Amino acid sequence: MALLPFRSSSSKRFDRLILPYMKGMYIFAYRLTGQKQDAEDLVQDVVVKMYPRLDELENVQQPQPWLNRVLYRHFVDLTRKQSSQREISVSTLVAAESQTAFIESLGEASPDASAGIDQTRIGETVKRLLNTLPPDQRTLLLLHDADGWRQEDIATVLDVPVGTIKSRLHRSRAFMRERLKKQMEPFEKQQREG
Amino acid sequence: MTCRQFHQEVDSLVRGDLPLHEQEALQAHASTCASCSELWEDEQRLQKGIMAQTVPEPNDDFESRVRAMALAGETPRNSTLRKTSLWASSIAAVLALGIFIGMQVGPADTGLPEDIADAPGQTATETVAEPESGAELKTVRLAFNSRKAMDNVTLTLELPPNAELAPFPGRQTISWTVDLKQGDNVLALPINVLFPGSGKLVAHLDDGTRRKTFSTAIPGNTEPSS
Repeated sequence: MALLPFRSSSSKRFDRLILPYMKGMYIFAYRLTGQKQDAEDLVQDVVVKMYPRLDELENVQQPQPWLNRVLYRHFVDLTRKQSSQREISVSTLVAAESQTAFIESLGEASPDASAGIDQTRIGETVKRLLNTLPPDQRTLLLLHDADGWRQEDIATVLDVPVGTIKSRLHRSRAFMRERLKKQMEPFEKQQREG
Repeated sequence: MTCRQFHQEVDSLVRGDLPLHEQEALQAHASTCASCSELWEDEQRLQKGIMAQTVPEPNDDFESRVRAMALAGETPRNSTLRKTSLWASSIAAVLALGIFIGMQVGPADTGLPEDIADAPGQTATETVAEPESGAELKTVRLAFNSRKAMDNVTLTLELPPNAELAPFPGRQTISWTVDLKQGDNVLALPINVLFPGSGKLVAHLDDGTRRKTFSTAIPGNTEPSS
């Protein structure tokens, strides 16, 4: 008589296969959406959707990037349905050239330079500038530079070559650096004169 | 070291990704090149700003809520009774942690009709997925505020004919007993919009003697994809 492998209860399997990765999914979702509630809802959608596929997840070697990739695809599906909003122009993910054009088109869309900016407000200024980037550009920068994701891991989740990640990071930083500098100039000038 | 090389490596220099000898070479170049030195400062400023973009902690109930929603949807579609029981118990567990739904309760009395009020404008609906059935899955958020906690309140949801809660296909009315927490609470309902049309989601809260009813529109005027 063949012995059937022990199969833990569904809740235990959930706790073992999904629960340890939910925080990571939330952080990723927050980077994608920029909103706490949206991030929680996104994770909830994906987890509910994935729950019947625990058997599949059981065989995944690296669950975190796998789940993040599912989450990302779900996010892309969601945002494509809201194509009327510029904020969700995830289609720009596909072509690096179009991304460059998009970034350049934002040149005049930077926040009000007259806003009082000081050293302690760099974070706020960067946040505003990040919001002028397409969401995929913004997410890429934050995942890599703030959250410490490796370029290889980002490439896996976003399903683009590492070289593309590298070049997009470089371009996004150059854009941000230039805009931030312009934002800081009035304050720095004031400091010098004061 | 050239300026071009410096430009290519300045990101890595600021993030400390380079071996020591490369860092030293770049630093040596910056000490003799004003424009590269300025670029280095600009990059440091940017990285400081990016590092300041922290992720807020999720709500305390986040994991338990998502876990409850996932476990509630595990049973086959023809096992409605078991599904209801599972979902209700999961929701009850979530509510016990004080997360699911709240309501406006008067400062002294707990009488439902007088003291409970919904929060107009705090209801949001968004399309979040496209189930295999071709229906459109929307998340409808109901946000309420409660001034005090209340136990053993019956929460009943009534859905229009063109909508169903994702864990309960085929059912337009679902009830369960909940413990309501004090303060702001949000209920995120996964709702399948089965066919075009709009309708109202009605929520009743009943403490056994009195009942309070809230309602919110479920936009469903988009054609579900096939």
